[in-house]
Amino acid sequence: MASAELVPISDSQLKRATTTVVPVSQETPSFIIDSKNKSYKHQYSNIYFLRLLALRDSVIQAASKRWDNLPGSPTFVSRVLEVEPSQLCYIVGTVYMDMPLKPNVMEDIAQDHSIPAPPPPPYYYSAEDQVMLEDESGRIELVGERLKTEKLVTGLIIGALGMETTDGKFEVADICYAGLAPQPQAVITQESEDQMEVDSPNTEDLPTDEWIGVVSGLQIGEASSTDGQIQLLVEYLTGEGGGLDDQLSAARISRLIIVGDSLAPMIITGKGDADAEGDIKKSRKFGYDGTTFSTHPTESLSGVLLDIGQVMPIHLLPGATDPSGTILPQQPLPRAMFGAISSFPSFSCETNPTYLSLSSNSSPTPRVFLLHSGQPVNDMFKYLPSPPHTRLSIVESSLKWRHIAPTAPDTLWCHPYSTADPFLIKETPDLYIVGGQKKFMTKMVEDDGKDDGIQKRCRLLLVPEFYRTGIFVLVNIRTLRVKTVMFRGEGMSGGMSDYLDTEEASDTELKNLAEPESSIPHSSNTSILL
Amino acid sequence: MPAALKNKKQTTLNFGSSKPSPVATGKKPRLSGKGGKPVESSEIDEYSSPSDQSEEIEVEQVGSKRKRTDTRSRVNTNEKEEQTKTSTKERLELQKKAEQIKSPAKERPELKVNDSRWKKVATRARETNGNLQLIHAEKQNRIHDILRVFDLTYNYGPCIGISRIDRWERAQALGLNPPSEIRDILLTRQGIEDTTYAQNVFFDQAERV
Repeated sequence: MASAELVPISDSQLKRATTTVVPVSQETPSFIIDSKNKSYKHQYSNIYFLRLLALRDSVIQAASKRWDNLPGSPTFVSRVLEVEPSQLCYIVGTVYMDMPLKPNVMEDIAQDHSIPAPPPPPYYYSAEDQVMLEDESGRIELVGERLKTEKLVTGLIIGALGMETTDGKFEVADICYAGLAPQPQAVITQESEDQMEVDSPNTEDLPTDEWIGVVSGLQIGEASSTDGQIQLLVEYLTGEGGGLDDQLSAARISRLIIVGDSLAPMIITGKGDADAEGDIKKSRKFGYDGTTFSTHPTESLSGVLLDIGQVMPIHLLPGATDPSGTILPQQPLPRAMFGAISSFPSFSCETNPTYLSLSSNSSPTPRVFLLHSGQPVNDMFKYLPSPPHTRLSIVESSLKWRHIAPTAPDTLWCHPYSTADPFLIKETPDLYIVGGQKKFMTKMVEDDGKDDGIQKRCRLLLVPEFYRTGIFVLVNIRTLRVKTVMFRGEGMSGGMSDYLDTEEASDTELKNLAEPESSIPHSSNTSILL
Repeated sequence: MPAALKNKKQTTLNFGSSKPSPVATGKKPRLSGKGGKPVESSEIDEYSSPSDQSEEIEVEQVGSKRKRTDTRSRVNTNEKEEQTKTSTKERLELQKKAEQIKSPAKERPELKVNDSRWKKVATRARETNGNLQLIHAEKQNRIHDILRVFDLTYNYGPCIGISRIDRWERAQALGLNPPSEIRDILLTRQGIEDTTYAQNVFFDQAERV
């Protein structure tokens, strides 16, 4: 099959690459909420308890490795409230950030309803923030210069080294996290393959490699139409558009993953609520009011999915603007919504976030993908001042914290779990994809395994919104290298002009982030200009 | 004869599955069905004979479930219900404990407050409170003490918003080793029906949902 495809003379012999979905491991949590778990009676305190219990041992281990040999021999104090003054020790607990700019239900109740409420601030950090460390016994305030440079959000499990000051606060000298979670599939890879063909940056992309396409933020139904760009994408994927090179590269794309925000947010004009009974009855047909609600975006999206779904498997995740619930984890969109494509078994609707495990001919060890539509990262970003911290560094830290969404349930709405916290990362995935971002960014995070002898690596991928940037991302399933394809048109609407100005800036910014390897052939992306 | 037996066994299974769930909904549907339709009851009598034979066939597999059906002095129909249930669920023996929870409260053993089984847990509960004399606790017996200390032990997590048995199961699943006597107490008849035993101490103040 491989050699037949490489002959570029006749293009009728091109065949699409295939990858298969394999079941995920037993340890991987599922985000489906079925009728058994659908109770909202549980308190959110259960989530914090479960998180602390699950991560505490790992943090204690990491902390003791790091600090036990220091002069002064710090000891571990098991209850946060039992620290003694002027004794060097370390404690483990959950971080709570007390920020006056955070949305506060007390202020909501107390506010004056006769004047319109001020818009919520875009970020929560301010000079009056306080950091607390909490465990089952109580909480203690953390102070110190070290905290200003450290990246902390509510809900992390950390270990803090320091000593208690005279006024009962804990002065922090150092902070430690659990570190990357174990990666069972990395062990298999290292045992079975003699040369490290996956991880060395010098591997080339072979023509037999399978690629996975990832796109986010199609935002169909947007006020400024993006149909042209999306049509270009469809034609590229089906092999109808572009020249022979494009068809060759499109034939290697084995699967498409749409990571959220496929439908633009609906703006309800407010006409549909409480008028006289007679008015409502006249304008309603098929159960909805035609003047405020249009089915056109859904039908558009169904058409796009059908065109692509006839040639390759699709995974669709709901996002912040999609008609799925607002609390995490968002449940899969109902298949019946999409019409004809729902009869294709290769089309699957996933939860947000979700784990996916794919294997292919070139990579028989399944690659584990962790995907979500960006709500956790966008929420964490509000806690941290931006110039020293970037979204990429936040995603990298969330792997080290072993938690996808630490700010749930504090500022990020989530389901009240009582028996297990599924947002914990128990096994580091091979690929961590975050959708709904402003810029394309990628990095390979590596752990050389000093602590437990296993080398781990994970490719982070931040996928920008397609309707603004026109960027479509490709990932090589064997080498985990990344390519982008940009779709833009002269004179085409869809907000492309904003991005064209900032394109230079994003290139230079990527270079300044000092990506450690050359596996982003970003400058060689193909642009399809029509 | 074997064919006839097989046929009857199949129809027995169908009959069992078309009934409402034999466990949770109590006895009312079956009894009214039995009283109201004499034809049906005669069919029931007919079916009981092959099911007796099937009962013998399955006796070695079903083990403790047989004991459960024997201790109940119920009419034929209920025994038959149990047998069809066990025959369809015999592969779920691992979920035996879960089924015990779901079975109706009336069939659970009675709770003896002064049972010697609770002695160790009760003394441990008093010790955690420093052996203090409790004020305003005239109506609370040692079972209430044991369960209250279980609620307030923060090792097992927050007690609010979750029933005691669910919290015990969760603590067990997380490997925290809660005392097994507490589970036995919570699975007795009073442990299920009486909210002062089944729910946490703050239930009537904080949690009327």
